[in-house]
Amino acid sequence: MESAPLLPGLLIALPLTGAALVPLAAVLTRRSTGWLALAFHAGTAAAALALFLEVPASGPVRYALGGWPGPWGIEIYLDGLSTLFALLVAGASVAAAWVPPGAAETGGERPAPVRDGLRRGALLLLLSGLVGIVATRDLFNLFVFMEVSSLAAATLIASGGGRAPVAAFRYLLAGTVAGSLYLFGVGFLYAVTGTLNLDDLAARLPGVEAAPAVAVGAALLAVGLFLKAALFPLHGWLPDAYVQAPVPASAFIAAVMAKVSAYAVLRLFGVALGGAEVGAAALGAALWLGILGTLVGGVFALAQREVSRMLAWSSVGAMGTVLLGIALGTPAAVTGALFHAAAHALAKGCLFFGAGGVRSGSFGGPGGAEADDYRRGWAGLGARAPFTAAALSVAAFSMVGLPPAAGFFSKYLLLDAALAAGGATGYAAFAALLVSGLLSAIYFLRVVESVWFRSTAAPAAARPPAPAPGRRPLAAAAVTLGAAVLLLGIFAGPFRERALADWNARPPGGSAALPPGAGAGPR
Amino acid sequence: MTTEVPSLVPFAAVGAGLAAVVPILLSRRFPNLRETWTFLAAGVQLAAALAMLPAVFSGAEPVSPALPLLPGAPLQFRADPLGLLFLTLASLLWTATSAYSVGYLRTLKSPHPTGYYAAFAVAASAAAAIALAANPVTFVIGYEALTIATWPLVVHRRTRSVLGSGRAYLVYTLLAGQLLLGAVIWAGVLAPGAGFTPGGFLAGTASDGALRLLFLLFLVGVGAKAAVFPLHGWLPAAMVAPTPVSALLHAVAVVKAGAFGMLRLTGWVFGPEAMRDLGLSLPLALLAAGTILFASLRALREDHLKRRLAYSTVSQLSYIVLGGALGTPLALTGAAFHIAAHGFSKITLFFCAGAVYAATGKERISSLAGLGRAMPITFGAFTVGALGMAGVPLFPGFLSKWNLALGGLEGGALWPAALLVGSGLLNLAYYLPILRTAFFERPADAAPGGGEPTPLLWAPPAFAAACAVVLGVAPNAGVRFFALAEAAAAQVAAAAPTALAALGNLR
Repeated sequence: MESAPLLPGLLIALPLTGAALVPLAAVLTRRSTGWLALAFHAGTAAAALALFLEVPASGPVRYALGGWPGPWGIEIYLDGLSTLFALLVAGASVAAAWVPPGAAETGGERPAPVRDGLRRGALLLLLSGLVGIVATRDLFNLFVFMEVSSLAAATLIASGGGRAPVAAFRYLLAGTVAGSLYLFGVGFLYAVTGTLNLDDLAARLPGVEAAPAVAVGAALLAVGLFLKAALFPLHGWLPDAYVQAPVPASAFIAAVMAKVSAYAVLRLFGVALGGAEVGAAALGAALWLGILGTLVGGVFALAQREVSRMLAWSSVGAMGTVLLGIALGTPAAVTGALFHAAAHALAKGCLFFGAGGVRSGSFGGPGGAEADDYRRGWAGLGARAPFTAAALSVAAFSMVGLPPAAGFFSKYLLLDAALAAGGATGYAAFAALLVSGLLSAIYFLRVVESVWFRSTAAPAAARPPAPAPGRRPLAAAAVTLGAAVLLLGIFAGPFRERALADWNARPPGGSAALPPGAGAGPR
Repeated sequence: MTTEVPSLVPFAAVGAGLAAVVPILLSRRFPNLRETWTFLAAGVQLAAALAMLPAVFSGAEPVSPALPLLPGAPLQFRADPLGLLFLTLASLLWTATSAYSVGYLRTLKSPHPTGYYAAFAVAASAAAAIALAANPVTFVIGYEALTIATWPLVVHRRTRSVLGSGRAYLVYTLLAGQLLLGAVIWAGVLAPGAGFTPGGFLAGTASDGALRLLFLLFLVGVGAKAAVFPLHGWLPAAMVAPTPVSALLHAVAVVKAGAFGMLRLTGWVFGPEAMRDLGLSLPLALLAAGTILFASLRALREDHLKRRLAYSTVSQLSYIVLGGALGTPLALTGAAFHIAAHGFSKITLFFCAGAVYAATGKERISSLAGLGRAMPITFGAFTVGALGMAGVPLFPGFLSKWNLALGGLEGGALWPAALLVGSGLLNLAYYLPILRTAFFERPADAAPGGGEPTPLLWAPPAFAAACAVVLGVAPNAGVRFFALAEAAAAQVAAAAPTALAALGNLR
């Protein structure tokens, strides 16, 4: 069980070290630090991949930070589920690190190395925060990582031009409120149970469950996490933040950030507090909010003409769908929700790279904020950048849920699970998923139509003579993610088996059951 | 009764088109090479279909390995008589249509042909996947892939109004696809892991009300592609596509996928017995009858040739739906045979319409005067197709209608026979005037047109018409389509022995 402690340590330490080193190197050398940052991202992803491959064979990996064992010390705990998320986050970050920050906005000029290094450092810091949330087994430590990721994300969002600082401020406000609520919740729970370790908490909770403080604490935790996960109606911060963030931060943030909070909801309420009434109550709320969010996100996405805003609203819907699956709580539903999160992350990352490129004119279109309209900058993209357009189409098909893209399989799993769960909530979820599938068919396929079948608005002669800025890395990132969407779909079966082996091996009893090893309590 | 034979040939049949996509896209600068890939893929698919025929006639069913894509619902292909009938038809006509496409696109100097051939190849693969789908999930995957692959073909001309028609097409088919997906998942929850089973697998798995609702979902899901009234609106709109697309996809592949799905639904998902017990046979039969009459009357008023053909398709597809609803062995035989009979006849008609358009630019029936003499081969083939549609003896449509009518009598109802006779007369009423105009009316202007177009445009309709004649005179020659239809019906009949009384409630 205690296999190679090096890897879990590296997973956290690498991005954190990089976040400090990369800006420092930029300041000292005054040169671009792109390769150094990319190396840190790739190292983190490699560690996550190694763990992902190792965990099914070795069983969950536990690692006590600083040699202090739980429940007193801070524990890192990695099972199939958390390594899946770690791999997803780190993998998406590699795609993001591949694209130079701001490359799409500076008109081809190299950005100032220091500013560039600071942005790269912020991206690494965001990565370390997200990986930390995924890996930690400690309630307070989770708060710390949440704050780290919040601050880093706010920095990245603010680095965009125009209205970006406003969006960043709103995001910061939402993040702070969420963090504070969460921290209050932790305080309440700590006052009653005297522990911060998740396993320990699960073990001690049955004795004190009746205490009002437990209910209040759990409610505060839930609201805080729902806010971070942009669950309807706490999604207000999301659209502006996603739209205003510059490439590549937008793609990374849109791909994984909210999903990591959904993961925390699963860990906390599905597993640790799953046996308690408070956990069930929180999930019951998440279920109905998820159903509503799925629909509301779809309807608002339909109303948008700007593609990036449409993508952002579609993310609101997708977060509703993921939480809906988590809240349904059957193994099949949770499997579907996680697969949906993975499929959505890859597809949304791909689409945001595309949206960034269109807005900056990197793919040879007119560029500018106006180009974001699906009838303008996106028209004729298929002729100007066929490979990118093909990748974006695959991602769009995945969002709609058309085979063989990954989104079809996650939609199938969720529909199946919703119907099998039955009851009012199950049927409502089933209907909401079908309706949102239709809505997304309308709003995504009209973009695909524009990309392939409408001619370019600007005449060929008006194109800039020089190669468009940032085209190559953006196209490479989009094509890579698009291919990943397709591969995830084609290899859906084996992939799911591997990632969810631990989850599926849990004793029967749905969300109330603990993953292997979790019931051991304090050691 | 049937034995399963593990085989990789089904994969070859489904994969041939997909494998050709990348070579087609890569050879976009070399038209001849590009078209070679298309023919190669069509040839592989046809060869795979023919290779599986002997096994199926000997009572075996080639089954591919199951790919575990989804829990309890693997991706799997199985060649049973009904599936192989559809596959053989589709691949035979894909080959003919490929030759025709080359002639059509080159004569008209159509833009972006590479995307056209690539999308066509994907559509052929999707049709094969539908034909050989061993379970409903595989069927849905093929069904959705067919929708997406045909979209670029429908909007090939890319004008504003064409894109609008493309949207209508997507709205109908994607809405239907979603409902079908929901229905398939529901069926999967009721009967976990069930594949298509002769005689159905849903009987008794839920309350009658729930099963009726499920049937309605299925009906809308596959009925939209089968253009059952009132879900037929997309088909005339989709006639904005280039003629080879209308010919293969909207006369054979797409709409037949829907009609084929209706047979699968009535014979292999619910089964004739459950259909009768749930009281679904009569409403479905009446819906089909209504569609047949409505579309025939609608076709009478249509002056645009391709749109008249489209309404004729709407009408003819409901023969197949009617056969599925009747559910007796002879009715199912007639319905399954009609997949092939209508396929050959209708593709002939579309090929002819396209040849006329490519040679003269004329699309309206009233403007065809005198063309019969200028283009004798084309209009000779057209005559064969039209007589086949009407069900004149010695033409293929006769055999399917004869069996359908007998199937109705077998179940104790006379009205299907009367309906089929009436519909045959209506067919004559809207096809014969076309022939009269073409052969016997004098053109208003002196020059009717410049004679036959390139051989690539008149040979495929001549070939399809010849096939139709063979099928009408000797339905068991060559591929033995009629024997396949009989075998398919026998499978259901064997599993549903009381289906003969299926029409007890139709009297």
